Amino acid sequence: MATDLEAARLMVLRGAWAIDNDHPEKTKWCAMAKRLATDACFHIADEALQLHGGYGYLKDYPLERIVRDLRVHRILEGTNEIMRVIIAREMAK
Amino acid sequence: MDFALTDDQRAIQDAARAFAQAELAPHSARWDEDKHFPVEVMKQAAEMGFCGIYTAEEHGGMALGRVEAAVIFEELSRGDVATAAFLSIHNMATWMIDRFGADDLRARFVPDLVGMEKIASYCLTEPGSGSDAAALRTTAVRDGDCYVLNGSKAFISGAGTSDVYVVMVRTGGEGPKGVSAIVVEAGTPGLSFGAQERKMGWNAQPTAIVQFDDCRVPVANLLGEGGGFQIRHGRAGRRTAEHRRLFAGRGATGAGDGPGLRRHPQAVRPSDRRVPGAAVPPGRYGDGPGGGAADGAARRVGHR
Repeated sequence: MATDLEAARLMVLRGAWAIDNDHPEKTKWCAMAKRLATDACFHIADEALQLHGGYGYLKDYPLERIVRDLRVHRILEGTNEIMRVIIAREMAK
Repeated sequence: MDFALTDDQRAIQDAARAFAQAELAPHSARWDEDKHFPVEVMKQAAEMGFCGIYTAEEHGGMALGRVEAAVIFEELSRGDVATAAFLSIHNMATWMIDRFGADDLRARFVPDLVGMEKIASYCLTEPGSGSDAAALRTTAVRDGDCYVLNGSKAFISGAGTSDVYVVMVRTGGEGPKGVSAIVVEAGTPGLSFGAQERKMGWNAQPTAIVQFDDCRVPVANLLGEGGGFQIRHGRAGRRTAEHRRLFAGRGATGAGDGPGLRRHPQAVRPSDRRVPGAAVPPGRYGDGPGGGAADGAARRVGHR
């Protein structure tokens, strides 16, 4: 979990850096960062819920809300399937 | 190559973290439960500069970079994912007006947006075209000194509450080159909203369809020069799409770190109490066979 989170953070920061510096690969890197970070962090949150057992499923704890709130990040701003299309298109250039 | 944040970036991170933990995290559960859109707290965020993070300084923005914005949104997401996400949308819409609007338009809207005196929404997705901008069908037809808008936008965060809508419309032919962005104010005749959507999450912000029926918008509200705001094919549009994606990702990392077992003291309570459900089988969270030491944080919490 910690490793995946760190990987996501690195990719997002590099995507941000690429925009700030108008890097030629910014489109691909941002699409990759969006795809990876939103998938990875949803699974991290889901695993965190799992390790809390039944309590993770209760609204007494924030886990279930975080899982619900994060799910849509894999859909919005271009679904993660569309991110794959963008990445592939950039690679084929 | 340097992977470290600068001193300034760390100071920004600390400020965003402190704000999120004090003003967002304690209320997150209630906002979700009550479907409450925390406008007052977003105004406090504006006082921190978090509503014009990468907007130019001229009209009150902080003129920071996307790296700083990413750092801020990660911290805000630790406090409340839905509110952080909405702030990222508001930041982008504000930046679009400031970056691509005419000077009069910028002066009219940007100061209020940076201060959260006005709330902005971004309208791209349509009921039939997902986030595929090239296929969008909402039209804006020139008629004298106005554009006449017809069409509908789906899944719009802030719809019905926001004061300003940055709308992607078709001003030209088929495909991405015929697309422009235009600013529509709440209260414009012909602008209406669907019922609030009932959602799995993001309950701390309203979501609805935005409808345009012969909605007349001044030509001066168009962003870009002469309708030249060509999303995805223009430099401007590409940057917009990229940084929204980026912040979608960044919001996720913040929340991913939330249950990440350090930031939510209450989150580790079940395992502190050694409840049976919290037990983690050895190796369950490992990197490979037998489990990796690198995921020790998760296991420590699980076994505590």
